[in-house]
Amino acid sequence: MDQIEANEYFLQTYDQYADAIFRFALVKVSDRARAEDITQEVFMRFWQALRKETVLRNDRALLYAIARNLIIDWYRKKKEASLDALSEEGFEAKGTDEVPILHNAMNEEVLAVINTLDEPSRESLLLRFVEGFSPAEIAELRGETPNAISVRINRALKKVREHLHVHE
Amino acid sequence: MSMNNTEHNFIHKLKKVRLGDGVRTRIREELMAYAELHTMPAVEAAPFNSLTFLGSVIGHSRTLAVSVLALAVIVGGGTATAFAAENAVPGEPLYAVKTKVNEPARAVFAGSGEAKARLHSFLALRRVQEAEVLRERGTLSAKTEAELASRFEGEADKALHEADKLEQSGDASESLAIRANLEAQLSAQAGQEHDTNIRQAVVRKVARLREGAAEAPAAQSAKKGAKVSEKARVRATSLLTGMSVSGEEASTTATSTPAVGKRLLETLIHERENQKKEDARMPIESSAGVPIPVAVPNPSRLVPPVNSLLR
Repeated sequence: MDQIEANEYFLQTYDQYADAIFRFALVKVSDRARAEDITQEVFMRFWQALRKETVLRNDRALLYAIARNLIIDWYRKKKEASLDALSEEGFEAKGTDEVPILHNAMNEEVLAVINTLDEPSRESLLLRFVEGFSPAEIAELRGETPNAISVRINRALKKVREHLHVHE
Repeated sequence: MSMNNTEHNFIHKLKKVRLGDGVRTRIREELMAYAELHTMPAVEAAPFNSLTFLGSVIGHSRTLAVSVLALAVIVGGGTATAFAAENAVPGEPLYAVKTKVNEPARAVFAGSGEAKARLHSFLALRRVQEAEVLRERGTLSAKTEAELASRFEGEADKALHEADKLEQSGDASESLAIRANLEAQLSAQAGQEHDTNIRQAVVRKVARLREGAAEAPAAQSAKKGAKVSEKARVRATSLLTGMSVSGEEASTTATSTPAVGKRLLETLIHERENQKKEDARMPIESSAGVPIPVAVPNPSRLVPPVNSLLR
């Protein structure tokens, strides 16, 4: 791929997947600004992958794998930072990024429900019903069995249902 | 599990969660700039094929004996032979093993990029040293010398070609480090007393390296967002302070401050400026500016006037 072709392909991939990657990041980190940063970083790394590999077999899987790793790194750093804060300032310290920044009331409502779930369930639910992944594809991304994913999706859906009915 | 309307509605809302238009456009633009900064590498040469390698080894060997020996080394793992051949000079039976088996094999294992460039630099220097050994023995014929000189040029050109490729792929600092290294090593050779043809070839190569340095696309390569490896940093520092990185390199780096080293420093300064900007949480930066002139200590006698390097 030469520079022009690669640029074109890169932007096309961005247009196609930017929102999906943003949603993925948002349900995982519950912070809009952070999710935007992660989205941008994911595509920068995707570009680096384009530069290194001549053929990319599965762009979508690669994008989600990059996003997942970035988010894991982010959680790890956050944990270290908050532990440092605890040891330095005592237990009254509060991280400023604990409060989700949401600009949109509808998003807020949806995310409030999503946030009642644990992190693996949020991810599986999003990928299954919003992005249309098969349980097998989710399983591959997470390194688990398709069966475990299916069970998790069903439980998550049940929980969402309970929550929605309670609040109706 | 089937979904009723409430859940459908929920999923529908979740699907509506997306980047704001402004943010989406901003990220898109920043990504475009990022892709411009980190350009696609130049197309790589065809991968190594072991059959071709074997064919070239046998095809180029002058005698059947050498072919057999080559095969013995490759197939039978004749490490003793290969090892003994390392110190052979032209005219000795094992010299063919050295240049047609050992060295191509090393080239294969060196892969590409920096390692390959360093290997070819090393081999270029080796040809010069072989000529020196023969000259001391009094057995250096004009023909052998011409051949060694031409092979020296070939290896040096290969090293520079690898350096060019690195620069094209955005690794300007590494590329400059390789040139600086080659120039320093060759300068040491060029400084020897005996005026031979091969020495003249070395002097010409050094002159060419310095011309290349004077053209200095340093600012341009820094603009491309080239990364500075830690090694290149250490190397640049050592070149400019006259301190050696390690004992092995002491003799080659300590004596002079080559023109290329100066260029390397310029690039490093540029990149440090860019790094500062990045640290200020600007992931993408279309850098601008001109090289910052620096006073370079201890200019060697062969370095061209400072003004021609620092425009």
